Amino acid sequence: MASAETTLTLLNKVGLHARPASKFVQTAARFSSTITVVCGARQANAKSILQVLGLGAGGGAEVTLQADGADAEAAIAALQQLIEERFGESE
Amino acid sequence: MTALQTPESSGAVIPGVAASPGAALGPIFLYIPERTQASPDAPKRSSRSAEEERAALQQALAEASAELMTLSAQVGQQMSQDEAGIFEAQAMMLQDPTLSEPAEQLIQSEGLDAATAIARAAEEQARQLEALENEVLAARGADLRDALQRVLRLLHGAAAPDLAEQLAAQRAPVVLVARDLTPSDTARLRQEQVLGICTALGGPTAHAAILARALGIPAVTGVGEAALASLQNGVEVGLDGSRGEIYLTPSPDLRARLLNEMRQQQGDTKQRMTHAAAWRQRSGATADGHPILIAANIGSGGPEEARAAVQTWGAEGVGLLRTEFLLAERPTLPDEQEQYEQYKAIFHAFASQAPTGAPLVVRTLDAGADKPLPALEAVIGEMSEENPALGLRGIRIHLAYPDLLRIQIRALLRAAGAAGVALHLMFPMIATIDEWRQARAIFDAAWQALQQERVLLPAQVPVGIMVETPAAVLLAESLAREAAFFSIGTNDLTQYVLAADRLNGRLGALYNVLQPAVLRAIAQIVQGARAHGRPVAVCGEAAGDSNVAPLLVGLGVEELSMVPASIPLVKEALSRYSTERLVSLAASVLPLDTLEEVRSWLNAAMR
Repeated sequence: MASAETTLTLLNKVGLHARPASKFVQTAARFSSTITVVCGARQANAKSILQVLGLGAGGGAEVTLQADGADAEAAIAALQQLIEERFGESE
Repeated sequence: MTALQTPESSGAVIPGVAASPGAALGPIFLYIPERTQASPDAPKRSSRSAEEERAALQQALAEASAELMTLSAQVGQQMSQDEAGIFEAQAMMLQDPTLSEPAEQLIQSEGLDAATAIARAAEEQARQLEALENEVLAARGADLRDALQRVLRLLHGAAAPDLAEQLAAQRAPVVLVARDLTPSDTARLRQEQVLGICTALGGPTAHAAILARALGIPAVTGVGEAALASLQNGVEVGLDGSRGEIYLTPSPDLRARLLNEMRQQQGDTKQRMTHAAAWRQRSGATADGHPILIAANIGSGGPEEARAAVQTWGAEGVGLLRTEFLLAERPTLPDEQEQYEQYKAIFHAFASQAPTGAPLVVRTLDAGADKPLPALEAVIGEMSEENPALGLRGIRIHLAYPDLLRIQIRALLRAAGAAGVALHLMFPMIATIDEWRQARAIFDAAWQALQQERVLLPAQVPVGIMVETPAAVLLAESLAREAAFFSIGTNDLTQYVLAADRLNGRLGALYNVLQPAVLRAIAQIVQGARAHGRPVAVCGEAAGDSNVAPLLVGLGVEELSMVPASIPLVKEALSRYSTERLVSLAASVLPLDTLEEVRSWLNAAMR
């Protein structure tokens, strides 16, 4: 089993709120790996929108993505790209 | 409007958050929806088997999230992607095992019915979200409660009338007072029915606030739960959305001020609507019957905007369909098929209202560093330039990345063939003959390729030029030899002719379409076009200005395209003058040397 991990800062203004969280969860759901998001003391299953929203990760927050499974690296790369592109939001 | 009580002394003022500017005075419509039964605190045991309850729950969750996805698609087309995103997130919440698994366990272990179980599980999740310090994220708790109501409604099979239906049943417009407005409540609010909005909860970023601003409805949010007790159904109340204040029993002076402001706000809209009713069926023409095609500029409003332009405002065509909407707020470029679907939806909506053969002019993507688009940046690199107005924009991007243009043209031609509309195509920012020829060659190649693929195509697609650069003005005669039509973008033309940034307020009168240099440029464009029998349109703001439009017609412009709401006023303005009079007016104005002279001549002549 492959595993991958990366730590990033949320660049968009509002962080993981409704629309970015939807995109994040939809992206995570494309992969078979187990994906966990850690923000401060909280952690969430990246495929659950309620858990991802529950991280309370606002703009500027630092999050760590951990993936375990066959497509772990691809999953991390896709999520990383989404975050770096600010979820396609202008702010 | 009925004033139920207006005592001499001024009543109480309830302070809130100024959420959407404007004044309102009218009867209160108190909207405190009864929450559907099945509170988590009053557990109800099921008479059915756990298996049956679980199945009922799964079905309700699936149906409710399907409803939300449909709503999301509708709202995305009609209003904003932001609002659409809320519904999508709600749909995903309902599909989230983090919500459904605990509910199923409650059914199993405590023998609860589906409604009670899901209400309890959702309440737990909503509380957790609301406990977050981040205000924006905490508001998602309310989204979850709203989504839960949908599920409960399905489980109980009860169809409570929603807010839109209740409002439609009111005889007069109201001031809507609510504890909070959920996304479902606000999605279908209508300006004609709601004078103002007042909510107990929420700040300037609440759904109600965002939506009120989008609809132009004055709103005050966050007046507090306690204030609700003093706001009674049917009683007149005043509201100032600019100050963030609610007025109980407003004094006569205050009522007069609010009414006056309301009239000013509504005057413009009402006048336009009245004109629209009268002028919708009439086609644009001068007093002597010389036809002037009056068309609409559309772009971000999707199919609904195209339909309304014809149906509500009486557009005889679309003179400018901006295609930048395709790329707004998205990380990657839409592929040919997605573009095709989007264009087809708009074309169909237009064709369903407009007469056969009504022209629909599409401008190919007109992006640049002045309006950066992330999706485009993904292809062409970061678009930050020292001098964006003079940089890589419009056709220049397309010629640097010809695949972009080729794909867009293919999607447009296929959509026009499928929807049966009279597509016209124009390229923005043309400054040289070479640019025009290269773009035209890409069009021809795309056309031929589609023919070979045996794709259904329109009989013919005129290809023209959007004239915006001084270079295109000077080359008008040469360009007219090859281009099928001209459409003058007066906004950019004015900016480039005067070398005056249109966003720079300090340049004052310099940026003005009535500047003699701009008027003479327009005359020169018309002259060049006429040498080859090509029609000239104007699709800038000047076309929708009922004081300027007659002069443009006098200068030889045959088609005017504008924001849909301006169409009735411009039709009316043109009908007042004979063609001869407008031509002679233009002939007198053209030799004038200063902006002041042009203005005073126009004022005198058009009185």
